[in-house]
Amino acid sequence: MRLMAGPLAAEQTESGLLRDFGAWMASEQRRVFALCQRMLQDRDEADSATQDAFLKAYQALKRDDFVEIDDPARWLARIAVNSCLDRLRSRKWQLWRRRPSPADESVILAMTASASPEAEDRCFAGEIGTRLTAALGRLSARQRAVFTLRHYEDMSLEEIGSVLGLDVGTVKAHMFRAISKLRVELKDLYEGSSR
Amino acid sequence: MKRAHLTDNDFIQTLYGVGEHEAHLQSCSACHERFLQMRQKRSDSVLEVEASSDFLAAQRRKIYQRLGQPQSGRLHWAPALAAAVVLLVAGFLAYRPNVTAPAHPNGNDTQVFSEAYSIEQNAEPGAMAPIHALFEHEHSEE
Repeated sequence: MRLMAGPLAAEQTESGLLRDFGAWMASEQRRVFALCQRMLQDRDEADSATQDAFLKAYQALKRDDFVEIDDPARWLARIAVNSCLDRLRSRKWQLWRRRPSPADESVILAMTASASPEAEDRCFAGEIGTRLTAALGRLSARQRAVFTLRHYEDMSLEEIGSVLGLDVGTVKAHMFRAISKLRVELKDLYEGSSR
Repeated sequence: MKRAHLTDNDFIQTLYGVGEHEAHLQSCSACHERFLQMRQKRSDSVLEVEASSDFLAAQRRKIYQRLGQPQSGRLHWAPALAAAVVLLVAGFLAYRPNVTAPAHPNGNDTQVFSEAYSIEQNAEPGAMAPIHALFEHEHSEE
């Protein structure tokens, strides 16, 4: 799909653009919200970041100098990720933000400790997924973005670089640090894969 | 020599795009099989983010609402600036330099002036007094 807006502005009325945008938003909304939720791990913040992303997208589309883009989904992902990065960076100053309580963490850990014969099924992978999601809090904003786009969106490093505006070498460096920090969780997730 | 199989770390690095083991995966069927299993596990571990139709509809309404409002995104720093200005003004108003305190706590200006005058008029430093006392003591013994 190719996204055209600015060039259409001369012919298309504001209401026409809004209608097309609405249809496109409805088709992308769930994916964008899931991406924001995974990056921010806070439903309210993910809600706001999703709104910001669509708002920025619409403002960009309305501009007269907007150029046609080949991959609107990736373009939108880039806007959403940048909105999330802004929010993650501003969290550093929000000293009142609540970290997961020790009780919550122990529940998550207990879920993985109950590894049983059915440890290789989807249920176990889901439990590890929960623990992995909680462990994302240990990553820096960029590391979290890089890891999220690879693990959850299955993007190549080149695509991630394009979304974040980074070269592949930098993406690799962030990814390497991220998987080093998540070594224990990733090992638990994958060690069940028998040879 | 037979090439050893990939380690867990090798698999994880390859799965996340930072490993250089593609060639081995193409030549070793066992490792290739395990790599596919690990990739499946990764997708199994991805939990669905819950977002009901009602939630998404409400979110769309909020977006439409915001689309109709003038943007104030560039003024996010305004409250912080206003708070800083208020603090500065309050600090400035609260500051009172202590100009009414007496320059000399134990006397008035006249007393201070007379003390200064006597010091100035006395050619001999005050430290000579003990030495004079020694000589006076000797004279008295004679």
